[in-house]
Amino acid sequence: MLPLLAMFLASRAVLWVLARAALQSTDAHAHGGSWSALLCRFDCTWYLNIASNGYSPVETGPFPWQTNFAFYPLFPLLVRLFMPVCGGDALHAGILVANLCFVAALFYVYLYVRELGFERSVALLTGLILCVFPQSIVFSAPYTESLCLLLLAAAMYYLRRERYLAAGVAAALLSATRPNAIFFILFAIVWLWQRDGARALLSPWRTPEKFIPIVLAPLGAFVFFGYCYLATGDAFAAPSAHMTGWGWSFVPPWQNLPEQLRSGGSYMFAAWVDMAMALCSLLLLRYRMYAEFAFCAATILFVCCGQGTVCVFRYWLVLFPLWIVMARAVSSRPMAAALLCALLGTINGAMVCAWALGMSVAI
Amino acid sequence: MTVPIWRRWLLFASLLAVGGAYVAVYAFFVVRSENFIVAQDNRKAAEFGGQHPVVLPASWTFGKGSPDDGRLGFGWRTPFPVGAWMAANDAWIVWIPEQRDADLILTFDIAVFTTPASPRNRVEVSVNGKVLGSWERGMPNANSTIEVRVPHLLLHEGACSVRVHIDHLKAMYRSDVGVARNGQELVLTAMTIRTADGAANTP
Repeated sequence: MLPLLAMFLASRAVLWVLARAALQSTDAHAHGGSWSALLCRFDCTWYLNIASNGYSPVETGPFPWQTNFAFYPLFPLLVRLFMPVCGGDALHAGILVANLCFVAALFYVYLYVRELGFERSVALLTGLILCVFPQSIVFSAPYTESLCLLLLAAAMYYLRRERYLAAGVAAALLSATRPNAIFFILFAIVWLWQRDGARALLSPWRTPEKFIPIVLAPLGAFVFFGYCYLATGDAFAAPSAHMTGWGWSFVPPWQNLPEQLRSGGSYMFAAWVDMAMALCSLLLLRYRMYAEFAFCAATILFVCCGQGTVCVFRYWLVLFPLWIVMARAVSSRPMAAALLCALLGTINGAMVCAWALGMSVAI
Repeated sequence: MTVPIWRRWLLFASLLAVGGAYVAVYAFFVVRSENFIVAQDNRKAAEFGGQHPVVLPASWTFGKGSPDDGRLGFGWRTPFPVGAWMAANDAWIVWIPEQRDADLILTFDIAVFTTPASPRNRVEVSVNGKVLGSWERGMPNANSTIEVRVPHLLLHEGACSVRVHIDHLKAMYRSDVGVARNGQELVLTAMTIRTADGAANTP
């Protein structure tokens, strides 16, 4: 636990120093330069708005038709719960929740790697990759990524430990955190098939307890859909808000990726990273981690289909199985491991400066 | 320790019930939900229409500060004094017709901005869910008006909801990718309504 804590603290300190330095090198430090304000960029204000005022169909974004229904509820709900601890301040509560979740997530990822049978060095290197991965600043900012990583790692871990109810509860909470979290179901199905064969999958009455995580997983999303329906008459208020307020749409990846590459700028950068992630996911097959591959491949496909989505690295942070196999691949070669971390850390340094300066590449 | 068979079956039945409930609830949501942002804007336009009855023939102009902008439902923006600009591929105009026993002719004064890469665009008009025609626009007929005949049978519902659809539109967001890239726009400057006395809907 101590090495993980040390990685967490050291990486956060370095990121904070870099962000401060970036701000001080420009005139921007006059605006929102405090340590907490530094962590509130882009979508942060939406989450804090939900935590403070609840959901509202009123358009409050910089573009028409942007409403806070685009954002899933669990993270803002937790922030709301922690607000009294922070004197009623949503920003500080958000930062507290995000960082607590990240520390807990590092712990669960460590346990998961050990559960897979990999060495301690692989588990620690995976934690380090998570700490230095580009845009890992969002693990400490009021964003959903740290909570999503925590619940995903916990759900996968408990499933592999055959603690089905715990896995189901974590999965249900997960689906109330981010829309792509529902792909956990794929993980659970493939894991069951890999472990017990197709017969177990096709005869659920024999061992119904193994299906608890699969059945409970959509519960969080359905509760949110129900709330949206009661509040707006639109159960799918989140995708509605994304489509109308943010101009997102779904197109096949073979159309979307070439268009993004042609568009240049952040789009092109994001498309290259998407393809790199797809290649990395093949490593999971090499280690026969088929269930993890199903989850990662579905998430990668989901992101590649999103026209108008411009996140370069953020969506990939939670795909920790990729970082496990990457850590496994380099763990026996210290120089390669050091080079990998240095490369990721350098990109992360640039990204945190962009984040501090509010540049769109860091969205 | 083995689990009693009845408990296993009870658990299985419970999980099956939860799974069935998901399917039923999801189907209910799909059938009953409509995009709340679209519905909200169109409801405002219908409320405006209820307060401002239409006396035929009617002529409306759109643009920043125009009193007729209240009839614009979802999908328009009026950043300039002249014209309502489409900001989504589907945009609505909503009003409450007083006269429902005669066909109507709607005339739209539009300009379609295209690009050399995709010089043509398709505009479609529907009223209360019924498609009444589609028109190819671009140079040299980018500024041609569109006339639509609305059968009186479509006017029996409360509000008259006109949907204007365009195939390609420049995104107003930073997500400006795809075939609409580099700017394709539709601006509606005026709209007239009169009772029908001839054929329309000619592309």
